[in-house]
Amino acid sequence: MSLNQVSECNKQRKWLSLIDFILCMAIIVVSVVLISALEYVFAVLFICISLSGMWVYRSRAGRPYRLMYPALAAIFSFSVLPLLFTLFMSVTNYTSSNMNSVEAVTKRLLQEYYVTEVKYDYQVLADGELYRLKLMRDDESYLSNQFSLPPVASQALSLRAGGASLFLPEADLTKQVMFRRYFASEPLVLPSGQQLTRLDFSAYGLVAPRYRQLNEGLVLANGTMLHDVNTLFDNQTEHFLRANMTTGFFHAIDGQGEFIGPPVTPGFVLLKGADQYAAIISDPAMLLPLLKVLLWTFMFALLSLLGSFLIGLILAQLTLNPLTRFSYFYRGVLLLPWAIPPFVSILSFKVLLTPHGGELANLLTLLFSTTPDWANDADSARFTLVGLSIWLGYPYVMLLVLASLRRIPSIYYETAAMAGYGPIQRFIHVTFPLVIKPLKPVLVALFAFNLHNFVLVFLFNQGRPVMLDAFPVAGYSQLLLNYVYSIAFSAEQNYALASAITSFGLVLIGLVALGCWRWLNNEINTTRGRRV
Amino acid sequence: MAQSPLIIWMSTQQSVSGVKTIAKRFERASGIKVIVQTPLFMDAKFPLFAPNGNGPDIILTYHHQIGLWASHGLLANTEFSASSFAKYVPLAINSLKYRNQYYGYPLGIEVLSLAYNKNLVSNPPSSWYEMQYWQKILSRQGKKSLVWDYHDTELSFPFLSAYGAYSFAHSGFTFNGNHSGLTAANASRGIDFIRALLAQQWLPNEVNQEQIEREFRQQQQAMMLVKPQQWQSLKQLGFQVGLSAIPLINGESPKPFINVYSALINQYSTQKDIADYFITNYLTTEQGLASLDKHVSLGVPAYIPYLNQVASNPWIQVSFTSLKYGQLTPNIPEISRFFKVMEGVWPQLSSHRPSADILLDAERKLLPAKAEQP
Repeated sequence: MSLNQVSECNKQRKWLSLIDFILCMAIIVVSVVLISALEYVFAVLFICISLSGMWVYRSRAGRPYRLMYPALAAIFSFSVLPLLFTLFMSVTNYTSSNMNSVEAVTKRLLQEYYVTEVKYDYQVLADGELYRLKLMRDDESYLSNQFSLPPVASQALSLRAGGASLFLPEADLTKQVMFRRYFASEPLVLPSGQQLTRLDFSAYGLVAPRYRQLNEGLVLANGTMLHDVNTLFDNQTEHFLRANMTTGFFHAIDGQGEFIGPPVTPGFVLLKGADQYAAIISDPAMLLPLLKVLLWTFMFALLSLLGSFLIGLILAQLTLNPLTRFSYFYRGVLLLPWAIPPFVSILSFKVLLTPHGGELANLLTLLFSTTPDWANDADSARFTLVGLSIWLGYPYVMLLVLASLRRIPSIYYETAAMAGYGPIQRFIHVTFPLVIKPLKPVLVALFAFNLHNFVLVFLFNQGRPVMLDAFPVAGYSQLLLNYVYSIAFSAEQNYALASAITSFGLVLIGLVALGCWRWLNNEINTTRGRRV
Repeated sequence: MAQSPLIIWMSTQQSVSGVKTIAKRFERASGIKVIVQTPLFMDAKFPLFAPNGNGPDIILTYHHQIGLWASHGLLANTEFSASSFAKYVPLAINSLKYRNQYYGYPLGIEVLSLAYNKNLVSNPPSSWYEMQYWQKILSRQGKKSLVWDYHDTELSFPFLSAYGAYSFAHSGFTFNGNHSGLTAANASRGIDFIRALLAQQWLPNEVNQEQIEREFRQQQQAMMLVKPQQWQSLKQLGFQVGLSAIPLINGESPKPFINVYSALINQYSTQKDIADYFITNYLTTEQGLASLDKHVSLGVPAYIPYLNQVASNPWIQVSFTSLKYGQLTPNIPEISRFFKVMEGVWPQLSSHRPSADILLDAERKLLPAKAEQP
């Protein structure tokens, strides 16, 4: 290596280290911003992702991971992190009133103010082209300088006593709104030096911070001294306020340090440990419906998968039959359920299958003298849902099977035919093993999709009929996701319970799905092993 | 810095075009744009959206949400001056009180009443005996008397309350979430009452509101239970419809829920003063309420000057007298649990479970803390 090249290389390295330096600075700046905005989780996530990214792309050791890294980063931020969030939420008391940490709530409480007895009525008066502000309270009265609306630059309000006998028309509402826009954010200073805050369209008032932190500490009757940031003094009611770590709210405390009085909103997020899980397991009105919902969710996914796979496979096989001249047209028709948006087809099925009146229901009654009573009968509802999901799912499978069927060399079939295999045996021994292998990932995806086919159940029958003994209300045909949705977003909005149920359910479903998939894999391998 | 618009959320069941008219009036006078939105699942969305600053400035809904939302810190409280306080019907304004603070402004008081087709029923039944008489007469003509969807708590619970059931105990306008009246007095006989109607096939097992309204429109059904939102459509049916109180059962009046339609202000709104100004000067005025009332009836208006204007309306008089018998829907947070629990009660009516057990079980679900005691 010539000297020239070495210096060139060094120069390049210098540049690269400069880039590294700039990137590091950027990472530090963004992290500091995130931390100062109290977004700790995102700060940690950002630091982890960006540092590992630096290592992978800027160092020699990280080189093998360069291709894999984006996928890993995406999986971590969009799948693992939400899962961790869910787990975290399930061990807290997270609801719409308890959303922030105790520090954030203290900070917010310290920003609250209350209006003291000092309150002035105000009017914005039109004085020709200009305007004046008039303040009145009992026999006091103040008048401002003239100002224009919208104000010219650096126009400030200054008040002087007087104006009690000044009668001018009140400015119209547009000007009052303009006054609010330009002058309301600034406090109004009386000649006495008092600072007033605008309260609404008719009043200014003297406001004071509602709470203050106790720097000097608080000594209780039994001699204990409380000296923490979460003990506040309420200036308005003259009570001491303390964060109650069992309820998740601030409460007033008495001389003994006992919590009295109603909770002060907003509350804060509190770690509750396994309370939610204990509640689920100990309450049969919750556990049994949950297990039923889980079992049904799994059955639904499995049946839909098997159904759409078999029907898709058979239909694809049939369309390959060379005698169908209109096979393109025929295939197009079969793909129709896929082409129509599920929203539309689910709702149309709902109408068509309405007992006593729906066209499809009438047809079924004519043919079989019965029709699924999916609103009241649990089994009918479940069969109907599985049928619908097969209807929605098979075209996808069919399309993929068609593609892989074409790839099977015809010589396999000829050999099989020569060996004396009939069409059904050829299907079982040649087509099926050769088709299922490339299709496996798709089947996994379809299974996963059906595990949380929320839209179908939500649009079709909302999981009815309801289980009689369940509380919170659960439906016989509800999938896990629908059940959790109804808990989290019904009137009670219990996110913590919903998260706990999600985590609980995910673990169970995950285990069952894993076991099932292993078994399916082994099955295929052994059959193929036997053939070979 | 542009003036941000005032956002109002309300249900499509209510007078959206009325609010839009008022909004236009306000827009002309103030230059502030008003956006009226009708989100689906509004009541469920509000607690999620408000704390993030994505909520509306004003939400128009029923008063029973107040306890839950106020305890979550989502609602701005209202300070009434003595003179403005006196302008509202006491029942309505007191229904907005939770933990000694008032939230929002009342617009109208709604209570369930009985609508009847004057062609089929000459004078409305005042007791259940008369109702049975009409059932006999009308079924001979192949028509129905009164049918309602018994799965709806708002419609069915009044029949339980005629036998003494109530949701939560109260003193004055303050409700106690730890004391339920689901099994009070002979409440289970109320369940028996509805079961008997089911056994006689007087009430069908599966019927929806649209079906009932269609049959009433086609004069196949003589009576139905109606809320004030349905009044306007009843006047356009082409035949005379009368309104009366729900008939007495064994001499006791069924106690329908009293719901107060109200305008609530979001605590997280950055323009609470404008919202307040809009409500007090444009919504709860004689002109404003008249615009609301024109499209969808308010029931008994809560603002006394406007109530005086319309007091001669016989339907409002019927509603007003029904208020005496009705029970105010509690505004405590537990009320949502009550409705959830009741939702699970009605499907059990077709089972063989004893009525008293159904209610005991419901009460156990309603008061979970109590169940742990021996």
